[in-house]
Order: sequence, then C-alpha cells, then structure tokens
Amino acid sequence: MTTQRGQSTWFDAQTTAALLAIDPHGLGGICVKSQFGPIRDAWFALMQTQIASGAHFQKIPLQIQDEQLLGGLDLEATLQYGKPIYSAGLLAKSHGGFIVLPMAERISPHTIAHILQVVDRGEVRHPQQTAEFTPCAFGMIAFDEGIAPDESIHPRLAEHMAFEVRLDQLSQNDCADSLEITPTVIAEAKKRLPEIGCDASFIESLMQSAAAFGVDSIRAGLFAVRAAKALAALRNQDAVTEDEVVDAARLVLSHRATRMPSSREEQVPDDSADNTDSAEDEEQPNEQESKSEQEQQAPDDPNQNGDRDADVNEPKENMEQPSTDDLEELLIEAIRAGIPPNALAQLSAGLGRANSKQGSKGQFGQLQKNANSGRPAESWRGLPKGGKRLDLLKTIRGAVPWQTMRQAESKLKPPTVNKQRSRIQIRADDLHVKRYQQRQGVVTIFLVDASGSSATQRLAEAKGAVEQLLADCYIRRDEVAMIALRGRSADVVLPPTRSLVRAKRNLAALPGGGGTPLATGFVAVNEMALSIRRKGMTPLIVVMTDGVANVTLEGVGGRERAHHDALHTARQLRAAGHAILFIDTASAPQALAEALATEMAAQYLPLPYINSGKAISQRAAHLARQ
Amino acid sequence: MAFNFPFTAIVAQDEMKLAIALSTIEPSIGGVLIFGDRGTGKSTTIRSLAALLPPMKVIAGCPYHCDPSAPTLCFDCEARKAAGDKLKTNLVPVPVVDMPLGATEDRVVGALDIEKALSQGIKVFEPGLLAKANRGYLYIDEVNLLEDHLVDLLIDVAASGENVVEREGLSIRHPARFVLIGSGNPEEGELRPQMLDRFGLSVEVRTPQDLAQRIDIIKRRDAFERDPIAFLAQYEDSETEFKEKILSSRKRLAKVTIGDDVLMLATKLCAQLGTDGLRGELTLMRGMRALAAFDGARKATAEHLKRLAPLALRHRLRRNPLDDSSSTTRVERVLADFF
Repeated sequence: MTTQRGQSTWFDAQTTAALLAIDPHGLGGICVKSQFGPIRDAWFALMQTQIASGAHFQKIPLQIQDEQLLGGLDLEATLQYGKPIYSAGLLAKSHGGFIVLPMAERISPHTIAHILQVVDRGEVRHPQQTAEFTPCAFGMIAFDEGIAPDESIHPRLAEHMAFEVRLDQLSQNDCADSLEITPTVIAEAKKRLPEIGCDASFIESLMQSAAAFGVDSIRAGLFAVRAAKALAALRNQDAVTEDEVVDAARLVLSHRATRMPSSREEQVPDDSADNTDSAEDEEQPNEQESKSEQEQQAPDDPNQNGDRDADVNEPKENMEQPSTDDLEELLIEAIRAGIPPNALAQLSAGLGRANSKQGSKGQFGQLQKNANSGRPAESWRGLPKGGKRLDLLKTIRGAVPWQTMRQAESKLKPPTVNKQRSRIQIRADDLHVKRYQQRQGVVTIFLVDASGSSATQRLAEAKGAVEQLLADCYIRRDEVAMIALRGRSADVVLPPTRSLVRAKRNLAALPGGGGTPLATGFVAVNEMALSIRRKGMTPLIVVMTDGVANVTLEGVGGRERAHHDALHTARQLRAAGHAILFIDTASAPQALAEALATEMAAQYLPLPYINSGKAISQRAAHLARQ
Repeated sequence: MAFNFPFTAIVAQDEMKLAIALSTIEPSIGGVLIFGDRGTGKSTTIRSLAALLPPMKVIAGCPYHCDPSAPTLCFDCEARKAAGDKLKTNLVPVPVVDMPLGATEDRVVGALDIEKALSQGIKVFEPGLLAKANRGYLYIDEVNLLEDHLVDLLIDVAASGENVVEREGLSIRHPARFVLIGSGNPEEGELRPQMLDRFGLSVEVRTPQDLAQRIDIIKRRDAFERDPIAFLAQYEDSETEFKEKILSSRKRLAKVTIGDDVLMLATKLCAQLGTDGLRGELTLMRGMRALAAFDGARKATAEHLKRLAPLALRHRLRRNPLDDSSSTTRVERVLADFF
C-alpha cells in the first residue's frame, strides 16, 4: 500500500468515525478490518476520546448470553433476595451510544440475529418480557479480525453497517495526522442533521452508480444517502452537494462492489434472463472479472462514456439536469478508487466476501456436548442461562440434603427480604441445567482430479458420484464441498454447502484437462478440513484420482518430484487424523494410488470395482459414522 | 413507539404483496414463503402488515387471544369460565410475532415460569412465541437456517393448530393457529420438503432491477425517515382503502364459486407437475377463491388459476437433480401447455 493511499485510508477511517458519531443508528456501524494492534488502538482511541467523547461504548463479549444481551431475570439475585429481580441487557444500556464487537467474525449467528432484530426495530423488549418496548438505538463498531479467507464477518452483520475500514495494511507513518474533529463539531453536526436535505437527482446518481457496481441491496443506497447528509452536516452545510455525494459513494459503496462497471451488452439489464434464476446474479462477477480487469488497465476507454449514457433509463430527468452524467462519472471513479486492491480478484477466485455471503451456514462452532437441542444427556450443575434449560428435578434433589441446615440457618437470621418463606430453600449452587448431545454435522469434501490423466469419462463418473452423495447428504442434512485439481492449482469449486442448486451448477461447470497438482490439492483439502473442524463439524475427505501426480507444490512440472510432494502432503493429512476415502479412478488399480492411500491412512477403493455413485456414497456414509 | 413503513408505500414486489394480501383474506391458504436476497424489503413488508389488519376480538387477559365466539376456549379461559368468572372481551391488534433465528425451544413453545417456580414455589406455564402468535402471524426470518428440531416442532404445530407442552411436569395444550411467514435465501441452505409443504404460497423476490423503482424506494424511505408522521399521513388514504379492500374481500370470499371445469384444470395441472399429495390442489382452490374475492369477482376463472399457479405450486415440485431449470420456469412451462 502506498503511503498516499495509506493516508487517505486513515483519513477515511476518521471521517467514517465522525459520520457514525453524527448518525449512529441511521448508518448502522463500521466494520473495522484489522488485527489487534497500535493503529486500531489509535483509531479507536480517537473515536472514544475525541470524535464521540462522552458517548457510551459498550463492549459485547464474544460468548455473551441472551439474558445479558437482551435483559431478563437475574436468577442469582432473584434466589438471593427471594423476589424477582430483573436486569436490563447490554443492548438496552447502549441506547444512544455504541456497541463494540471484538472478533466480529466469530460471533454466533444467534447473537447476530438478536442484535440485528433490535437494530431493525430501534427498540428492545422490556427485561420483564412484557409487551412493552423501550427505545434502543446505537451504532456498531465491529472489529473483524479474521485472517483466513473463510473467516470474515457474517454477511448479515456486514449488510447492516454502512462503512468498512481496512486498517490492517496501514503503517504508523500513514497515521501521523489526524483530522480536527472535536466533540463540539459533532454535536453541532448532530443538531443540523435533521434539517439537511438531499436533492433527488443526487439520490438517482447514487443509485445508478450502485447498480453499475452490482450493489443490489437497497439498504446500501439508503446508507449512501444518509452518509451524504451526515457529511453535509459535518461540513457545516445546509444541504448535500456534489462533494458529499462523491465521498459518500466512495465510503459506502466501494466495499460492496461485486463487479466493475461493465460494457454495454452486460449492463443493459436483461430482465428475462435475470429473473429466472435469482442466484445467477451472484455468479456473474466471476465471468465479468476478466473484462473488468481489462478496463482497469485502460480507464480512459472511450467506450465507457457512451455505455453509461446508454444505461440511463430516465431520459426525462436527465435532460433537465445535464450535470448528472458528469456527477455519475465522478461517482464511478470515486467508487473505483475506493475498492481495495485484489478485492475483486478474490471475489472471482471464489474467496472473500461474496463467497462467505453464500457459504455462511449459520452454525459456527456449535459445541457438541453443550448444545441446547438434541438427545438429552446428563444434567450439569450450572445456571440456566444462554438458552440452557433448568433441570428441575435434579435441582430439587440437589437442594434437599441441605434443607435442615438451611432452615436452621435462616431461623438465626431475621426474615429481611424474604417474607413468604418457601418450603424448599434453593440456592444458586443447587441449580442444574439440562444438556443435550447434538449430532455433529458432517461435511464431505471431494478432491477431484479433473486433469488430463484422469479421462473425461472418469470425471463424469466422479460427478455422478458427487451428485448421488449430494442427494444423500440432503436427506442426512450434511454438507458437501468440492476442490478440483486442474492445471497448476487446486480450486475450491464448491465451498461447503447444503444447497443442491448451487452444488449442481458448480459441478456442471467443472471442466477437465491439465496437469495433476496432487500435493497442492492435498494441502488445500487439509486446510478446508481443519477449518471445518474449527467450526465444530466433522470433515470427511473423498479423494478421487488415479494417483499420478505431475505438478509439484511449487507448480512446476515433473513426475518424480510431484510424487514426492504428494506423498509428503499425504502424510500431513494422516497426521491431522482426517477420515479419508481414496477412490482410484484409473481403469486398473494403480500402485501409486495405493501407496498414497496408505500414506494418508485412507480407505482405498479402486473405482473399477465399485463403479457407482451409490456405492461410493454408501462407503462415505459408513466412514462418516465411524 | 417506532413507526412502521406503510404497506401501500412499498415499491414493486407485487407478487409478495399479493401473496400476503391473499393470506390475510383467507388464512387457511397457509403461510407465505419468501425467498430472496438481503435488502429486498422482506422484513419491511412483514412489519407493515400489522397496520393493515383489522383488530380482533379477544377474551381479556387470555395469553392465547381466545376468540370469545369460538365454540371451545383454551384451558385457561375454560377454567375461568367454570369458576364463574365473567369473561370480558377486548379489541386488540392482530399479533405479528417475530421469531428470531436463535430462539430457544423454551421461547418458542413456552416453559415453566422459573421465576414463579423458584420464588413462590408454584407451577405456572409461561407461554412462548407460539401462544403469542395464535390467531395472528408468525414471521421467521432466515427460516432455512432454522435448527432442525425447531423446524420439526413448527411443522407439527402448524399442521395440528395446537401446541402440546409436556415437560417439567407441565401438561398443557393450547391453540396455536397462525399464518406462517418465512423468508430466506435458498443459496444459504435448503428447507426441508416437509417444511416447504407447510407454506401455502411461495414467492421469489429480487431487488428491483429497474433504476427508476430503486430510486423511488430510496426517496420514499428518505421521506419516511425525515418525517414519519407526515409520510404516514400521506399514505393514510391508500392504507385505509387497502384495509377496506381486504375486509370486503373477506366478506365476498364465502360467496365466490369455482366451476368444476376450473377445478378439473387445477387437478390436471398438479398431476402434470407431479406435486405430492393433495395440498397443491387444496391451496389452489382456496387461493383462487381469495384471488377472485380480491379482484371483486364472484367466480374464480381459469385466469385466476393461471395467476395463482406459480405462487401455489413452485415450491411443491419434486426435485430433479438433473433438471437445472428453476421451479418457476417449470411451472410456467406447464402453464404454457395448458393455456
């Protein structure tokens, strides 16, 4: 990152902080992509002490329980005083301030659902669970500390926050200067905000440029308009001007872009094609990426002006305001400049944001034993918080042996708070909660050798097996993922999914041919399996290859070296202890393949002998159960 | 009190609005399933629904909103009645209950009131979301990500219209009849066929691609946020009109007739599409009546069938792993053969 770019990122980071301080609830929040470090600290300190000084910043711990978040009965206090005692949740306490979400990429979808429901409604239920609601509006600051490409903030949460700042690549030098934003400036801007108007033509330009970058969500457009207003308030103006629109577009829309503005044929919306399959849209960036890269290299492409004009569907309003086109060009440039480098390339590689948007399953790290649902297991001593259920019988049993002692004890003490003395005296220590055992989800990862050495017909068989397994998984509620070896790389063609629709589409598009980088494939499959395990599910690996590697880890040709690498990485798979099914796709069983299977401690099956998707599926199911 | 965006101010999404209108006219159609991306106005539409529904008569203090004119009441009201209590009635808004994704089973079905159990030592049932939703709507956002055990539970309750609680020494059954409204993105996970079947109608929503509409949405939203009261006043007439239309459609509903020829056509359509069970035909029949009533017609025609078929049938098609076309196109293909 060049220093200049770094500096402007730093300024943007401060501006977004100021905007959020001006309109916390309207703008939702800021997603800060950064590891813990001095720059993040500096930014947050600036926000806390200068920009929004005096505001309440409420940290929401990662493993927060519903009672703490939303408020409810305080069981310990209730037992102690013998009368119901309620406590307000952290969200209710954050009204008018900010909530801070550290490690936002790890928050459970459960917690996110609760937070966003409050954000959507702008009010929170009274802790006594009555029908009353108390107003609750706050801004969110989410620290996304994800490193791996599949670790990123939940798309639902990201959708509800206007801004994203990336502090992870800034150096100390970039952050030397800070903007002069004082609490008084913010307070005045806040006062001014409700009066600020935004010209309708600006809204149109914003929406048009959003469409050009493939930003579909209406919420994004809404955020952009609100950001422009907040900017106008910050700059001491009565109304939004062109400058604010341009800046708002950069701050709100850049990180949401799913494609670069494309050429005429693609941009004129083809309704019939678009409407048939709503999912189609999300695949488009992949195809368009190569084109948009070309455009990036030639930003002065003379065709572009013409294209944008062609896209303007509202001749009337545009004729009246000839400046709209210029503004739009400015907007497009501004958004383009704001897109982080490589972000779209990642998108096209099937990683990053767009991928996680599709891939999120809403079931991070569900621990097997502590689950709140499933088959009953033995009860544990503990407080019924976080959705756990009280085991009444066990609780009473736990309390009974102590009764004589407690009765005697309470006779000594004058009856202070508890007038109606209950027959059984229960203390917090006696409480038992129910536990359940939950079947861990299984994710079957296919590593498919689509190279030239595995004949095309073999690929078809592999596809058949995957489809069969997919149908079975659908019944078992399992998930399937697929990594394909082709040319020099191992590509994730199907991130873990339960969606038949997606799996089928990705599978159909899988081409064959090229070299066999087995070692690279083993590394990729190991990484995916480990990440699945981190999420609390069980990975099952199905390798489909003839075992003839001819591309090394470094991506160079050469059989001997490639085979050596393959054996080496196969040992890593064994070390990680994954359950593996090795299907030899050669027309006759291969010694090489069998050696690899032994090396990774896999169950070895030559395809000629089983030869059907059903059989593979059954074996896989059997292996998964072990 | 937070203001809800008015239903009639929602731009485009005609199919979704129609489906919801039909389910308010004839609740026995059985819920509406809305599939689509984030930021398409699903939640806004559902929340705006509450304002459209005429208030309903309930027995005062009943946690299940018992209908005073119903032949049987809930155990609570029956007990009060037996005790000689004069049951008063109230007019309350029709409940539209939000069920959050992470709701626990306790919150959904209800559980022992721990507070009362521990502090006063009495056994009292604390009703859950299903009780709150009785005679109203239960809205589940991201229904396709709902945990399996909750899905099972909902399937059962939605089918029987009754919530049976057998836990912690409680043995309680209470009415739980509600219109299920679910939304989600199919790319993120599939819904079990049994659950799909519980929904009468399904719609696929997309963000409007038409720029003029998109701009209109933002403008209206902007106006609403700047001055909700003025904005609501602006739409008051259309809201009242729509409310009256729903009411008059409800009245008309009982008189709407369907010719045998149209019913035959509906049956053939279902057979051709290979939908499982009779639910497809039943939904078509009820839906056609509601649609005709909504249109102000006295007789449901083949035209109504044609409009309703995609809504009522697209989620009932059996999955064919080899056919890549979406179910909407499959329904349309068959419809094209018919008409």
